Order: sequence, then structure tokens, then C-alpha cells
Amino acid sequence: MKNNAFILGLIGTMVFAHQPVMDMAPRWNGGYGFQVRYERFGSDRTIHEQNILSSYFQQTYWLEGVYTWHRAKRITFKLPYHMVERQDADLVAKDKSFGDLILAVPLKKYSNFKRRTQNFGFTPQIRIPLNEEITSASGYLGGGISLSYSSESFSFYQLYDVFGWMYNEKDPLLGLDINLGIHPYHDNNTNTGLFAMWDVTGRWQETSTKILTGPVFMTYRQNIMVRLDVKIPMVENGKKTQLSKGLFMNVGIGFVF
Amino acid sequence: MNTNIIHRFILPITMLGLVSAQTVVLNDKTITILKDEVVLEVSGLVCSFCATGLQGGLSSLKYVDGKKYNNGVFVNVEYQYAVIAEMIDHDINVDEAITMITKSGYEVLSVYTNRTGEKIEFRKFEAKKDEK
Repeated sequence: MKNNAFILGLIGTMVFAHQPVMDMAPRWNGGYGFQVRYERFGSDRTIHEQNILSSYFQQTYWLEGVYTWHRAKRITFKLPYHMVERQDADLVAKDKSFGDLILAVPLKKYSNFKRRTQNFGFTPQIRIPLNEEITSASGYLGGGISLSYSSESFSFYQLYDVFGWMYNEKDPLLGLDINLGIHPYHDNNTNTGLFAMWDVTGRWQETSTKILTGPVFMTYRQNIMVRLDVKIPMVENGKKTQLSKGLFMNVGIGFVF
Repeated sequence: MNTNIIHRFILPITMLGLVSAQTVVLNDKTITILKDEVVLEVSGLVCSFCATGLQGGLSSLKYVDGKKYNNGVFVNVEYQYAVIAEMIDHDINVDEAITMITKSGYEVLSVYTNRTGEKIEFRKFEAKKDEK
């Protein structure tokens, strides 16, 4: 069961790797923002090689913040509160606790063009366990590096993020996030609009491979944004225990000042 | 009756418009430069959050007429320009506005004013490749 928990934890807490808020704001000196996200994923079956095992569902509330002291330098935090429910035959286990704090320093190099802006990002990250107990979703000390590129014009948005994590208690992780989308609506008078994107999420580790994909919708008004992600597993290849066909959902609201 | 309307309303308004408002073309869009406004062409200004950040900063400048637009500032992210409304008989400090935009992560390519209401004055700036 412990091994099971390790693998699930790895997939669970690392699925959503974006930085607050929307990977892009605030871009101005002295700007700050925060967002609250609700994340849910799980499956009524987990698989271990060819065997179907237990069910696993995890809901997480994330409190996230960002401070931009220079337009190219930020510091961010992400603090999760996990609610895990696991069932093996008639045995049901429930757990609620704060997860591991994630601190990051996104460093950006921007280039502005006449009708487009782009940036290359380098983000060192650290994951700090707040509890001594190791659970399926928390208790891991880790360090990570992210390399990203994003480009935005009035009509199109794209983001590519490659990152790696090393942990003290579990296998290293390599991840890839791709967001490609359009900006079909924007009202200059009220600063209200909508992004519609497609997300591809890949996670690789020694014991499993997982690729999820699905739509992302982001709407905003002035300094408030709301984002909804739905991801469907397309590739699942686990040498150890992992979720099977677990749908991932994320909804969040963010504010920038 | 129709002639009266033309003489009394339409002609004066049209003449007034020709004198006090003139136009420039920015990124293929024709923009009217009004007497009490400053228009800035801003490179990279394409996202909604960019608009929010700029509005917040520019609206805090002295002599911005907060009754117009969004606290005195209109940002067009489709054509990458910002308009700052000035109080009547007061001019904002344009250099301060440019510094504020630069600190927000963007580059000002040109600035247009129409102080007299009769002639547009402009300043052009060379675009930098990287802004870090």
C-alpha cells in the first residue's frame, strides 16, 4: 500500500505545474497576485500491471501567491490542502491535511515586438514538507528546475514548459506542459475577455508514463481571472501502481494588483 | 428647416472637429488625438493583464482626468496603444508616463499629443530588442 501511495502521490500533486497567476501576471514592478484553485482527480480503479486494485480520489485546495519585484523577477508560493479518499475492497481510508509548500523564483527574459510579446523563463523551485508524516500526497522534500517559453499576440497564446524534480523519498520526475490557444474575445472598454486553449500534460518517471490532454478556458475582467481545466488521460504506462483513466479537473480564481 | 439644422449644428460641430481633433494611424488603426489626451504606442501590449497593470499605474499620474475611460486611461490591446485623459488646462508629465510603462515591462514606440488642438506633436523612440 505504501508503494501504491508513493506513485499516486507523485501523479497527484504534480499534475498541475503552472505558476500563479496564469503563468504571466503580474508583469509590472511591485505587482502582486494570488489565486485559489480547486483540483480534483481520481479513478474508481487503480491498476498494477494487469491487476485492478483500489479506487483513489484526491481533492485539493491550493492557495497560491506571486510577487513581482522586478518585471523579470518573481517569487511564488503554492500551498495545498489535500483531501484523499482511498478504497480497497471494504476498507475506506480518508485523509485531510496540508501538503507540501512549493516555493519558486520565476526569472523571465522578455522580448517585445510590434504586435507580439514573448518570454523565456528559468524557474528554480523547492518543495518543502510541512508534516513529517509521508502520505500519498505530501511529505516529500524536493528541488526542481523549469525551462519555459511563451508567446502571446492579441489573437494567439502559446506556452511550453519543461521541468524536472528530484525528491528525497521518491523517483525523479520529468514533466512537459503545452498550452496552445486563441483569444477570441476582448473588450477594451471593460478589459473583459476570454481565452480558449488546449493543454497537453506529460509526466515521466522511472515507473510510469502519463500523458493527459484537454481544453482550458480562461475568462477575465479587469484584474480578476477564472480558469477551468479538464484533462483526459491519453497514455498510461505504469510499471507500478497508478490511476487508470482518472479524469483531472481544475478550477481557480485569481486576482492581480 | 434642414438648412437651418445644417448651419446651426452640423457645420459648427464638423469645423470644431477639424480644429480640435486630428488623427494618426497606429498599427493600421486610425486614432483621433484629442486636445486633452496623450496617446502612446506601446510595443508588446497584447494581453489583458498588461492593460490592467498599465491602467493602474498610469491613472495614478498627476493631472489624469479620472472621470474619463477607466480612471482616466484607455488601453487597446488589439492595436497596442494607450490613451491618457488629461484634466483641462493641465498636462501630465509624459516622461513620467513613459518611465511607468517601461517599468511595467513594455516599450513606448511613439507618443502623440495635441496640446493646442490644432497640431499633433509626436516623439518616436527606437525599439529595443530585449527589455530585460
